[in-house]
Amino acid sequence: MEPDKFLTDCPPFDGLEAEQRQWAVSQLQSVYMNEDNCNDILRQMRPALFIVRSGVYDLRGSDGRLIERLESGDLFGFPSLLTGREIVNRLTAIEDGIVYVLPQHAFDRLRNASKQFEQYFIRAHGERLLTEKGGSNDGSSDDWTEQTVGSVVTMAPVSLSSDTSIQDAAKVMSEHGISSVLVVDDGQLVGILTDRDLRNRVIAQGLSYEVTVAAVMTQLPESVEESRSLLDALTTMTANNVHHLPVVNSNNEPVGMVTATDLIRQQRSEPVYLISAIRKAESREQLIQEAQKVPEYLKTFANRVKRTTVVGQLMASLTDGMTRQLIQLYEKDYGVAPAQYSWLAFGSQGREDQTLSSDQDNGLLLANGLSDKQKDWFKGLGEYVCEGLHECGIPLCPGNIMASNPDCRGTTDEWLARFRNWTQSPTPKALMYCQIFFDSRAVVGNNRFYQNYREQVAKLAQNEMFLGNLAILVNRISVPLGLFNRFRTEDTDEGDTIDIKRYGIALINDIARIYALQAGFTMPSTPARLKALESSKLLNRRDNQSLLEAWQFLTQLRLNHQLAVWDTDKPKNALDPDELSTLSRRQLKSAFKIIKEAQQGVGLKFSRQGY
Amino acid sequence: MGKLLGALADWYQRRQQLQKPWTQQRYVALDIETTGLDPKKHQVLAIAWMSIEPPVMHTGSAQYHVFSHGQELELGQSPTIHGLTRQDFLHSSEPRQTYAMLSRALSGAVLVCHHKGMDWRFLKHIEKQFLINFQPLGIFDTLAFEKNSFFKDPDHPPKKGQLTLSACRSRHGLPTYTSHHAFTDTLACAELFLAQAFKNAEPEMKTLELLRKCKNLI
Repeated sequence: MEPDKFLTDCPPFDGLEAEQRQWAVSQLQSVYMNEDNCNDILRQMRPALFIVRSGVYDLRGSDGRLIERLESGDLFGFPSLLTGREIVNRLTAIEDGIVYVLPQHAFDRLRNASKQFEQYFIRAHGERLLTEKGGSNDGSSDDWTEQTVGSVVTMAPVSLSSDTSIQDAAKVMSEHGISSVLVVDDGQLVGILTDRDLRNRVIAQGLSYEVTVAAVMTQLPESVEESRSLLDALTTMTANNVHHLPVVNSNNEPVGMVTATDLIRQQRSEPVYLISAIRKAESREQLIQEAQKVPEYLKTFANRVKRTTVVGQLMASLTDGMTRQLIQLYEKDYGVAPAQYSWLAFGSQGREDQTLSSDQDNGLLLANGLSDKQKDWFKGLGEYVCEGLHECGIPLCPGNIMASNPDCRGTTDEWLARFRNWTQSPTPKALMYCQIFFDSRAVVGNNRFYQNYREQVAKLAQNEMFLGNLAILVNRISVPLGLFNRFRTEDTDEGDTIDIKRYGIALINDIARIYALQAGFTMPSTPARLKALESSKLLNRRDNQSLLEAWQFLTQLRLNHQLAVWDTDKPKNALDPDELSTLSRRQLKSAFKIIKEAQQGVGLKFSRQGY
Repeated sequence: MGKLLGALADWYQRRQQLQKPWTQQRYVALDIETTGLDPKKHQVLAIAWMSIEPPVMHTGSAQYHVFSHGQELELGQSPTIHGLTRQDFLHSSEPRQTYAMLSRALSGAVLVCHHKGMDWRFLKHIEKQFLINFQPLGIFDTLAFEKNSFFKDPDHPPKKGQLTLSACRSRHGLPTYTSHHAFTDTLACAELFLAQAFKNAEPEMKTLELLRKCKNLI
């Protein structure tokens, strides 16, 4: 009987229990929608889920761009249901028809009753937002992607030791009403135990309840560090198809758990679709095919986020995702890693200010004392992944800073020796390397292994002479502001242009790096370094804030420029200031002025010569 | 005399109600399934109705009632009648309660049905049988409306089957509903009504004027 009959074939209602679906029907209204009344209906009946029964409608963004053509069985209105935002999209009716309307309370109840139902909308929401264009940013919420995992973890973790009996573990879980529990020995996360484990590995196997948790838990589960972004948490979850993710601090000590629901609560899950498509790729070919969609996705994403620094993060997250996937594919053919290691991202991927034209900067950190055979495995890995990333659209590094280069595959001792050498005898080449290699991040591998190593590297950097040399290097590059505060452009084939990467963004990165190294910080991203430096005595709060603003402005300017010249031969980092609006020109000048002052500040503070 | 005045007042009030734009009026779509065409001989098997406040149809709260008529009803050899199975009659409603509910629903609303003749005949019979009044403000007959708008030319009268509920619906691009069932037909009729009205009347048009388009003002 209609409309139950219709919903039976209409995803995600098709996955509901018959009783749930009939209940949904009892909550339905339907409307006759035509060109004249469709937008009034949308406004008056929201928040609600709209289900097209018949007719054809075009859903357009506030700028008039077609987002989706809606036909029988298509749904709309859910982004507003999920986020509580106003509906900014407009409808036009191509053909009149009947649309079912499910009110918010019913939608919420179905979401709670059926995980599959909820998942459907989270995915759909992600896809929708990726195709939606900006302008809808009302400032009501900051980009959730920028938030750290730590900021959403509220509950203290429920944990037990690995020698707990299964029965006691089950008691703890039922007392706390939780479906998973962290297994922690000596403050370290060693495993996770879930309802599923109890069902599959204990009850189904007829195991005694006296057996210890260690025997049935999932060992060394995927976890996420609290300082990482929610975007990373999401990547890890989709990658491993889990809904619970232990959160650890930099010492690998568990601090809580983040769930898919926590992320949804942040209400913006847009890149989930893209990331999961990359993670679901089952072959190299498939991965490359998905990766080819990245520029297009990134463009739409860039258009709708308020702070474009997220775009750099997203690009880095996507590159991380591709890297992880390639490593898994390699492991499929050549077996798993024969020793402890970390895949390192350097440069812009490390700093998470990657752009569409950034090239690869990566390497491998290996355990000490490897046999030749083990080294061969990593050689193969480096070559396979770098070549794969290249085919995924991440250009090869002209300076050959890639894990395919034997110099970029080092054991802990080798890397430390290299850093020691660079910091103690800072030749120009060594200093140039430092500007790349100090901005590192582990993409794959044991967090603790990397962090131990990275802290030793940080100690090596706290060397006055070395920092002084870095400060001198920063001051060798002069900001393109001339007499009377006029732009000094370079005469190129493209006209009179300014390279805002070299003379702007890179300089701020360099300046922030020097302060961060001096303070012994290990994080690679410039905004994160500046944030951590807020309490520093060397860099006062106002200068810190100015630098961050200049960096954000330049990143934004570069992104806009890159999107404008994408698919052309024009330079991706250089632009003609005459083509900028008056406001942007003025802002660019003040950004350069800030950089100039910061350069001088670094010179005064770190190098004896002073500049 | 007082009775007459009262009736006059009622008529006047209804008349006033019908001056409102049709989009601000409440409607009740209705379908009755019976064992035959003659209210005196045949029985009501099922009745369904649904409120409409254009452009909204209150689908979820549509009413659907089945009557078992004690032992009197004979389903005969056929396992189903009008899509009803023996199973349906296990949950049958009490007629008086049901009709009282319908009476309240119809009061102040315009009745919408496809081919009002038979439904109205049965309702009139029920009025006498149960001493209940059905007093809608007017009747909108989707069949009559369709005939008036598509088959005006007396030289080209509609052919057989051209005015069935499903034929009218497909003419308006509405989806095909396969089951023949009081509930589905009510829904189908309501949707057809809205399609007809929205395509032929400005939202500000008076209800009276819209009803005139199917020449069935009561």
